[in-house]
Amino acid sequence: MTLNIGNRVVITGIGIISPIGIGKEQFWQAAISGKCGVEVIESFDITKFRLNQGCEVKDFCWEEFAIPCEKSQIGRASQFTAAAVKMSLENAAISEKDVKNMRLGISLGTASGEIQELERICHPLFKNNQEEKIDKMLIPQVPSNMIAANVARIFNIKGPNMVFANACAAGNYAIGYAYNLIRQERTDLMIAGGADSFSEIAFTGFCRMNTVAPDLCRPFDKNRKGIIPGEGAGIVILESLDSALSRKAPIYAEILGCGISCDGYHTTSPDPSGKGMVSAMEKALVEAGLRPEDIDYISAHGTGTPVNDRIETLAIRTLFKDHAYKLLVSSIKGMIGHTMGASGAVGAAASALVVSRNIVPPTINLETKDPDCDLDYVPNIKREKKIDIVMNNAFAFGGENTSLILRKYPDRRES
Amino acid sequence: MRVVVTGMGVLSPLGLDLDTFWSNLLKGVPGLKPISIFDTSKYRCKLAGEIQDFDPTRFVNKKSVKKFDRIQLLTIGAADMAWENAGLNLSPYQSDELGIVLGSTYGSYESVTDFYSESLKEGPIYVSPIQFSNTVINASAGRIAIRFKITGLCSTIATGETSGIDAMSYAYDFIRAGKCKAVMAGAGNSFYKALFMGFYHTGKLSGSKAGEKESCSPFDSKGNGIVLGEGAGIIVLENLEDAKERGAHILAEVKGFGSHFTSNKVKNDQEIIDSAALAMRTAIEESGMQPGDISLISASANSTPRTDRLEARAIKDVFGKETENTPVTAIKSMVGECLDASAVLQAAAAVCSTRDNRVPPLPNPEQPFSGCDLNYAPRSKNNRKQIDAVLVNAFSCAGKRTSVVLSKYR
Repeated sequence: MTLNIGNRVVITGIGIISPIGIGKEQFWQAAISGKCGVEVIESFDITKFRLNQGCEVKDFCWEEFAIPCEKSQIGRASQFTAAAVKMSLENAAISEKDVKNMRLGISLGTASGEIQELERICHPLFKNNQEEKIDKMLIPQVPSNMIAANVARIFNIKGPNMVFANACAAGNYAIGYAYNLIRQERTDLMIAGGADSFSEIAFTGFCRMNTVAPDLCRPFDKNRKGIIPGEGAGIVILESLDSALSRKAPIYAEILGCGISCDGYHTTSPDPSGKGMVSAMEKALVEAGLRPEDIDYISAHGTGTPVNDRIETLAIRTLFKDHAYKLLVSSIKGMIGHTMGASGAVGAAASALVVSRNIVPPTINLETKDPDCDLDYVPNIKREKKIDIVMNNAFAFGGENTSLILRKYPDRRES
Repeated sequence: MRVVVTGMGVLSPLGLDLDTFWSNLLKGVPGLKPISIFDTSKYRCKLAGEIQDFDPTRFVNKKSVKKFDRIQLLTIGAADMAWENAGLNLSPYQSDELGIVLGSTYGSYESVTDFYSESLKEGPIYVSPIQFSNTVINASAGRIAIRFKITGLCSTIATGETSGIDAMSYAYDFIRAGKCKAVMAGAGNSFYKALFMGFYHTGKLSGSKAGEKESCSPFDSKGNGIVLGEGAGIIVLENLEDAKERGAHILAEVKGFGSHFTSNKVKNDQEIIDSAALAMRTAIEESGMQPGDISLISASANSTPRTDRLEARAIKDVFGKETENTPVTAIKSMVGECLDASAVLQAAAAVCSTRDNRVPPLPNPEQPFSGCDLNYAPRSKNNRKQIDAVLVNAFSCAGKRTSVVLSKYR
């Protein structure tokens, strides 16, 4: 049997839960107006930490989504995902009946799964040396596969069911996997994206690694001090172009390629040469059949750490040469923080809106130029410009690199 | 494009390398023993499939033993042996042509709970940043990529008990798309107290209810729950043409996968049977085979009454009158439920079955479920049988079901 790569793959639905807005439109309006989601952390007792800023989703109300599942039965990452899935299915005009009749599956990325559930269960026990009293909900709720399992159960999704635990790049891996399944005609429609909930453990760890900024996340700024941890979910509906056309679905963008590489260099730092990042971006271009000059905009990983932003810039310069100074680059992490496993997926959803609407969200908090970061990062104010082709980067611990390429669908029908 | 198995590495309760694991499986040696890493006197459950004599310095230096957590040490050990078994150290492949894909769902929680416990007791500013890097689910895969200078692909799949063969499936796709020439795929699972406690309180462990006898008895009506095990398995998958060109020793061929999801919370048994049957049928069809072409079934059964019973009924549904000609084995009776690692240990055993034409025994259920009269592989000195193709089932407790067919390479 040979691989069939016949299908073109398009995005026909978007659902977003983010610290700056719930739902595609709220998120988008906030993103293009440069809203900053950073606030004092409320998820856990922050007083014992030296730092206290985070990007939490503060106005999420599970009941509003009218999803037939008790809130207490599933963790916060599953709640985010289920809500985003519901919005994205509605957005794509997929009914319950369609779900029953179509071949469809789900592919998700997460860095920590239902870690907030683990924290909730373990916090009182560990403080009192009662490790042996671990709650009976730990095993049924916490493992990362439960996010996809919960969503598949709620929405009755019987097809491919994958969870990628590729840390901060997981969302891109999940979308890349879904894209390949549809391209190879192994399924008709995929619900793809990523989710993570705000974690005390992750916050503790990132603080100890000195990668958390004290006040704001300032991607590509000379005085950037690190990430602001965040939470959220990004979901896109992927389907074959034929399927989308036949049911007259709105089309935001077409996915043209997914490049994956690994640094094989260090568990928590990127390869300083930027080789791994270049390789992922290059593979995506090759798969898409494009030249570097074809890219109009890069939705950067842009975490706001001194090392990531410098090396990502270096990698872009290495691959794109002179064109690096012509294309636009921006990072939404100044606004929404680092949403971990969701970040690649929210970036991909935002990228789809960029090609669909010809507006580039700004990199906020960018005040002081860094000689190492000398590209056009769309500082502080959105840019209205015709954008046809976008590259969405997500990199992670373990030196895992992914780039997705999205193109405007010429006769887009987004409503 | 055909994909073959060219190397394997295994660490298990039955032995610290592939050969020992395999010969003990054939003998039916029980790997489940009284738990050694903590005091079980307060608990009703006392058994586990621990790897009691694992010496990580066989694979890494003492400094790394301190730095890495157990799941990383186990997977690195299995990867080392697989790498050598496949002769990848001598291969002509560039770093960019190699990949690593691991299944990991439960693995890093040992580091997570240790890290969190220390942070709550000592204060968040005193915990170790290195320990934090171990809490990340993809840490093991990252370490293996660094160790073998793998730059083509490094990925981690968290789908629960199916993750080991889901990792193989992902690797298989990657190779068939021409993106890598050889990919190490597999998973590890370590046994630790927080995991035991978590399962203990769900009532899913055998013997956790008063008056029940603790045992791991797949397909037996006296089965009353799982016994946890630990292990790690890495299987090297390779593009056939490249494997032949470099003169690799080909152990078996990967023929096809099938996967389906139906939540185990569904009350209607038939929906779950249909889901399991669909996963098996898809794998067999993708392999270009009929049920009659399958010589052996490696069941997912782990001594959980309902899911074992439904798997048996799904097997009968798929195999029909071939059921009596197709032996069924369930190696979890010997290694326990190794969670992420279970499926890849089954796959490794399946490859050995095709190589040696032998069947690991499943002690005949004393009281098989009524209506589930499968051809359980008997314990006998002569467990020889021509094995052309093995169907491996991996079903997660959440409801994902993945099957794969592995065959002799011809």
